Amino acid sequence: MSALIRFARSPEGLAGLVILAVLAIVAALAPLLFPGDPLRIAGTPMIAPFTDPSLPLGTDRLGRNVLAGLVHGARASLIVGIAAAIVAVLIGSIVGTLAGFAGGLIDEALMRVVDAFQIVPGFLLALAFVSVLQPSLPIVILAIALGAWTGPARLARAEVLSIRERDYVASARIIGMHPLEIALREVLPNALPPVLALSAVIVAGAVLTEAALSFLGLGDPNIVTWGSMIAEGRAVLRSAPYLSIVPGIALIATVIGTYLFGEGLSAMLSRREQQS
Amino acid sequence: MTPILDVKGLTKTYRSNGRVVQALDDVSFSLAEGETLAIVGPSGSGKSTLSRAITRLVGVDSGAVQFAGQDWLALTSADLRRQRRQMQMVFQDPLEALNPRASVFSAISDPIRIHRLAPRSAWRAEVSALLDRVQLPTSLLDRAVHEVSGGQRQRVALARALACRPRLIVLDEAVSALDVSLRARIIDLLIDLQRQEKLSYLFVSHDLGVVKAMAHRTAVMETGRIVEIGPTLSVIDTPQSDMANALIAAVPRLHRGPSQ
Amino acid sequence: MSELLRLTNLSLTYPRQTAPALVDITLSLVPGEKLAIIGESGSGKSTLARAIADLQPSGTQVSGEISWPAFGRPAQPGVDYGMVFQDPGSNLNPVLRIGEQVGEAAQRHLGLTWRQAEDVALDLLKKVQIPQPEAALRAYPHQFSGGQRQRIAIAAAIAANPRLLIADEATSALDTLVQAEIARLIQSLVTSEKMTLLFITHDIALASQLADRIAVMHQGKLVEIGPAQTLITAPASAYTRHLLDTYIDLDAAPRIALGAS
Repeated sequence: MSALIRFARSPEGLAGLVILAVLAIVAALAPLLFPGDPLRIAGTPMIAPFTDPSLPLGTDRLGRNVLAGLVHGARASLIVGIAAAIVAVLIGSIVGTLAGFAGGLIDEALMRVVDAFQIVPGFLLALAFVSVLQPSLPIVILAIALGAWTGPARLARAEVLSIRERDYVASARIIGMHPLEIALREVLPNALPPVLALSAVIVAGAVLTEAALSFLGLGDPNIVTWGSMIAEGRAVLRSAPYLSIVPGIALIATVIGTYLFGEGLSAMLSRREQQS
Repeated sequence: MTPILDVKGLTKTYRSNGRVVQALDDVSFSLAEGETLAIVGPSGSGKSTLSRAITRLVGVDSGAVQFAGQDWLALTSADLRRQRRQMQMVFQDPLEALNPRASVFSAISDPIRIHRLAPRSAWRAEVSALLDRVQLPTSLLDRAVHEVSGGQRQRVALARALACRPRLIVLDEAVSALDVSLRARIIDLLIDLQRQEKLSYLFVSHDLGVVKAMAHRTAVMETGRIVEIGPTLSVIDTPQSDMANALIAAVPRLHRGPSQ
Repeated sequence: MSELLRLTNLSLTYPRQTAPALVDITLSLVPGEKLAIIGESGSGKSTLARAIADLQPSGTQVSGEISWPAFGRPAQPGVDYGMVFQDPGSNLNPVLRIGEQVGEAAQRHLGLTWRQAEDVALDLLKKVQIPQPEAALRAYPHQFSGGQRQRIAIAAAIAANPRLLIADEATSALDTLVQAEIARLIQSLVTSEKMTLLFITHDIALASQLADRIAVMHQGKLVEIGPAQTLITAPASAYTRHLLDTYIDLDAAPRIALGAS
């Protein structure tokens, strides 16, 4: 409970929570707000925003409803962003924890694998992966995670290494606790929260990477995403900049929202507030 | 009467910054049942390494330890886990000594659960009884460790050690971080427990005043070796080694005169 | 001669706390004196030191007055007072060389060039008895022991010749031998450099060895203040008497029954 209070005390966390909540609700309600395929033709092409009340944000080059695209695109961005972050944190935590506990040769070997992945810029790695395989949502998610898992891996390993040296872990050994129980009850619950705080930043990065992949035409072609909308608007950037700007603003808002939420998570997890 | 703990020739070196450090150099001593042996010395003397070596937290290069009639250093894995509840340790920093996310109840009941010392239905009563013994209110049972003050945490750590029903407790600077008024109470508590349970204590400390209060015998360490060992009052009143002399001279005394 | 520092009805509450950390503190510091502030944890002794050094976190509510009659203006850190903290590990910046850190206050506040500041730093390292001071200038904090780092921290604190040295539990994290050395060093430096000393500690015996006057704090309040000798032999307050009674030092009798071996 005190953890939630700490979160509530952080203005950034609350702001981030509000932004993400709005996004999540909008994304969840997409099929209700705009039933049917957002990629179907809804009206005449290139209607400007705020001119037609039934098409509040206008239409794009093919006459598709921009607002419908925006709302449905929110789903893709959030799903990809969150899923990619979950996969990255999962893979990273497992590898990092293994390395931290095992030590020795296993630790060295695993860290060299981490190094190898970290050398390639995350986006290029995702790009290469998607180019080789058929672009679809799961592939895009995996591609992004491949570039993002090394951060959580290093952090998890560092936390595990540090916590293993704490007195309370020594105390657990001395009372005769089994090493597996020590790992699961004493070390991991204390090691993983900072990794979880990192995941918010990874979501933000994943959303951006997904947008970039879609922009380059490497995203899933069957769904609308903000990246693909920005790409579509590129051709008419001079005459109708709103087609790229509107999804761009949505992207910025999402990234800022996840980042602020991550700050709130960090505030919640830091316990160094005691004065004496 | 066989000593509860018999240490012979403990030696440990390690490499640090390219230098070879002799953490323990042929350390030998014994401890009788119901006795307190203090290990004193400056930082770097090896007393912390000694307490960690004896509790099997770190390994040694050579030497032998007999504890409760067993070849202590030869025990491994499941055997060691089973036997080591008889030798417990209370650490110096109460804020680090317990898992901050655990509850007071689980911190104290862990040993009872792990070693099946009581049926599950009796755990709460056992833990409450232990809290009583260390003079803590039973209302702390369901609090999280991080919600509890430093002085209280040290007593929870002591209750955790006692839950193991140990024969020997290593007190590694266990009262150094406590307030002065609490210190006296904990020392008296430890002495009472010792009398009631025939507990032995290995009391590592740099505070000679506390050592005088509660240790029967004292060993003085310097750079990994024991340079003097004997009844506490002898070591304090008639020190033989330079280190003992230095330690005694360094203890602040309640002076009656102003500084120069 | 006017007082160096005067606290009048000083009260302080940390942000987001309901209970005050300091309650109505009134005391003054005479130039050249050594005042020890003793108390248990939570007594407010460190809070008091930090309030004087203007180190409280933003959002702290402070009422009452901190004035520096000898200066006639608010005191400046480094130049008017220097501070040494408890933890030798975090007193010094691990990535800067010793020479830079010790000389920094001199360079900044005395307007010296780097060369001159380095000479001052060398001088100070000699004063605090660091072995091989020339080599030490180039070295990093991790190459020194805890006690040596504390000496270096003291050197850095007095680099700009402040009138007041505040030692906030400066010896509490050190073992007995080193503690005695550092206490002796602080005493002799304060005398030779003609400084005033504010020494925060939980150890009443250490305070009695070091200080001219002792102030006792308990739960944010100033319980008693007086000459060290008088306070130790004839304490006025029950709390001070309790602290003295429960103090375990080498003059106290053993609490175990001897012969039961």
